[in-house]
Amino acid sequence: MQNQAIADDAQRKKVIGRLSLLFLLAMIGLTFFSNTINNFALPRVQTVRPTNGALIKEIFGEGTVEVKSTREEYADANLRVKEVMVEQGDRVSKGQPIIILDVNELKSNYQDEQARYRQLQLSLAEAREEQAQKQRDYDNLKYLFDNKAETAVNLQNAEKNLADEKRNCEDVQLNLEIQARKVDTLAKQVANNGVYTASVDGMITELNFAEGSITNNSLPLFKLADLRQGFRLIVPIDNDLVDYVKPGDTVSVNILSLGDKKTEGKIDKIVENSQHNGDEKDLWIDVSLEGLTGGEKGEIYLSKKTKPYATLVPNSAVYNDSSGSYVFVLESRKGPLGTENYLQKVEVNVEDSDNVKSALTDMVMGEVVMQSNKPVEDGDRVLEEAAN
Amino acid sequence: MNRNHRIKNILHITVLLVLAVIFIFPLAVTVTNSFMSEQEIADNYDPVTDKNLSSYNDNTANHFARFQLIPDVVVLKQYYNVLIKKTQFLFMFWNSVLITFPIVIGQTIVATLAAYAFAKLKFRGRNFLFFLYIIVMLMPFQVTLVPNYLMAGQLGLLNSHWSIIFPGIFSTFGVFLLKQYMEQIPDSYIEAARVDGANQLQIFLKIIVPMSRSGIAAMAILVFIDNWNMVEQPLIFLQDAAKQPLSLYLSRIIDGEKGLAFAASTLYMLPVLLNFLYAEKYLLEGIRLSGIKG
Repeated sequence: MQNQAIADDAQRKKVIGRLSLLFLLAMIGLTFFSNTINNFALPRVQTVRPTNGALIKEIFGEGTVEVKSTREEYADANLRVKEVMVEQGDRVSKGQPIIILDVNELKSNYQDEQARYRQLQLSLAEAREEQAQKQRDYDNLKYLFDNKAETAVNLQNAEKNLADEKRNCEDVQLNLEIQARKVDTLAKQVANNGVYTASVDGMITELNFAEGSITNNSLPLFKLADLRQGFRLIVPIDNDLVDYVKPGDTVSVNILSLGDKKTEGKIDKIVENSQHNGDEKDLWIDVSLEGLTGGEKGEIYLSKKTKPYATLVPNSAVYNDSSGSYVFVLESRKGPLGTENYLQKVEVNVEDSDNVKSALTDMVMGEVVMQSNKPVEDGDRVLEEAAN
Repeated sequence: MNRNHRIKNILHITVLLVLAVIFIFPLAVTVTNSFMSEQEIADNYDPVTDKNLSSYNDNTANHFARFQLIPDVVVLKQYYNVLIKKTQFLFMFWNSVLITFPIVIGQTIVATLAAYAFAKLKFRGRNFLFFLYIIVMLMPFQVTLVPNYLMAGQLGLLNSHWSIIFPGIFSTFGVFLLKQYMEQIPDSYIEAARVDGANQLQIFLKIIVPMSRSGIAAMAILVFIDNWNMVEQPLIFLQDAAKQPLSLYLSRIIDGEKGLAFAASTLYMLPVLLNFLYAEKYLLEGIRLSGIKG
C-alpha cells in the first residue's frame, strides 16, 4: 500500500518534471525563435527619409486647335444665292470669289431709284426757281411799301409766300439726300454683280447658305479663317495648376489629329473657362504647324518646378483619415532581443503635392513608411525592408 | 457520537469547499480570460478600468465589470502577443530566472550551513547571534530597504541583478526555517558519527543534509516563490527596464493591451505552480516539521 503511494508520487513527479522541462524548453525555444517567427508575421515596410527640394508640377491637358482670326461676310439685302463657288474647308486666296448672289432684281430696282433721284433733282431745281421768284416779288412789294405805294397786308402775304416756298425747297432737298443714300447703297450692292470674294488668304470654315436659298442678315454668308494669323490650342486645366503657368511659357504640344505630330507652343493668355467657371481655366497656346486647319485635337505637357520645400515625402507615405493626414514614422527601440521597429503616427499638413511627392508643412524626424505589405496602425511593430 | 462526527465532517467540507472556490475563482478567471480576445476583455472590464468611459457615460454605462469564465471565442492571440509579438515578456522571464535561481541556490547553501551551526554547534554568543537573526527576519522588508539601498549604492551594485541576489542569498528566513528543522535531528546521530571518526564537514554532508532533505526542499520552494514574486526590490534597485524581472511586467501593460495581462499572469504562475506540484510533499512536511509557514 505504502509502496503504491510512493510509486504514485514518483510517477506524478515524473510527469510534473517533464512538464517543467517542456515549459523551460518552450521558453528557450520561443526566446530563440520569436524574432524569426515575427519576421514572418510582422508587416514589412519600406521607409524613406524625408528630403528637401522642389516639387515638379506636371501639367497635362487636352484641347482643340482653333484659328486665331476669322472674318465673316454678311449680305446687305435678302437675296437669292445664285452660286456657291467653294466648299467648306477649301483654301482660298485673296480676291477669289466665294459666293454669288442674284442681283438682277436689285439692278432694276437700282435703276428705278436712280430715276427717282433724278426726278427729285428736277423738283429741287424747280422749287429753287419758285423760291427765287417769290423773293423777287417780295423785294418789289417791299420797295413799293417803303414808298408808301403798297399796303402792309400785301407785303405780309408776299412774305408768307416766300417762307412757304423756302420750306418746300428744304423738303425737296431732304428727300433728294435720302434718295441719294438709297442709290448709293444699291450701287454698292450691285457693284460686284453680287460676287463676294475672299478678303484675305485663308480657308472657308463656314458656309451658311446653299444655292437657291435666300440670305438674311442674322447669319454670315461665310466665315473665312485667316491662316496668316496662326492657330491657338485651347486647353482647360485645373485652377490649382494655373499658378504654375504664365503667359510666355513654352509647352510641348502634341497634335493627335495629325498623327501625334509634336511641336512647341507658347502660352498666349490664360482665361476663365466658360463651362467650368471657377474650377478650370483655359490656356490659349499659340501653335504653328504645317497642316493645321483648326479643329484638331491636341495635348500638352508642361513640367515646372515649385519653390523649394523643407520636407518632401512620397505620396504613398501620406495616409488620410477623417481627422486629416498623417505619416508613420519608424521608431527604433533597443529591445531585449535586438533592435525593434515600431510605427508612430504623426499628424501632418500637406502643403502641396505633385504626382510623386508631397510637401509637408511639418518637420518629420526619422524615416517614414512609404510602403507596407499589410495594413499598419499606430504602434505596430514592423520589419524594415530595404527599398527595391 | 458517530452522527456528530459526520455532521462535523460535512461542515468541514462545506467550509473548505467555499474557501476553495473563493481562492480558486481568481485563478480560474485569469486562466480562462487569457483565451479571450482583446475586444471581449475590453467589453467585460472597461466599465471599471477605462476612466474615460466611466466618466462620460455616467447615465447609461454598466459600472460593473463582468466576470466571464467562458470565452465567447477561444483565441490564442494573447499568448501569441505575449510570447512572440512582444518580446518584452520573454526577456523579463529570463531576468526573473537569472535573479531567482542564484538566490535559491545561494540561500540554500548559506542557510543550510548557518542553520547547522545554530542548531548543532555550540559556541559563545550563539543564542545572541541567532536572536539578531530573528530580529532581522521579523523586521518588515521595507525597514531594511534604505540601508540595503545605500549599501548597494556603496558597492556599486545598483541597477544590477546582484543588488537583489546578494540580499536574497543572505536572507535570514532560510536559516530560521532550517534551524527549526535540524533541531529535530537527534544529537545521537552526530555523536555516533563522531565516534566513527567523522569530521564536521562529513557530519554535515553525510548526516545532516540527507536527513534535512524535506526541510531544504521546502525552504528552496518557499524561497523560489518568494523571490519569483518579489516586486519592491526590482522596482527600487533596477531602474533599467531591460533588467527588471517578470513580476513587474503587469505594471507595464498599457490600457490598450489589457488582454495581455491575463495571458501573462497565467504564464507567470506556471513555474511556481509546477514547482509546488513537484515538491508539494516536501513543502508540507517541511512546514509541518519546522512549525512555520511562509
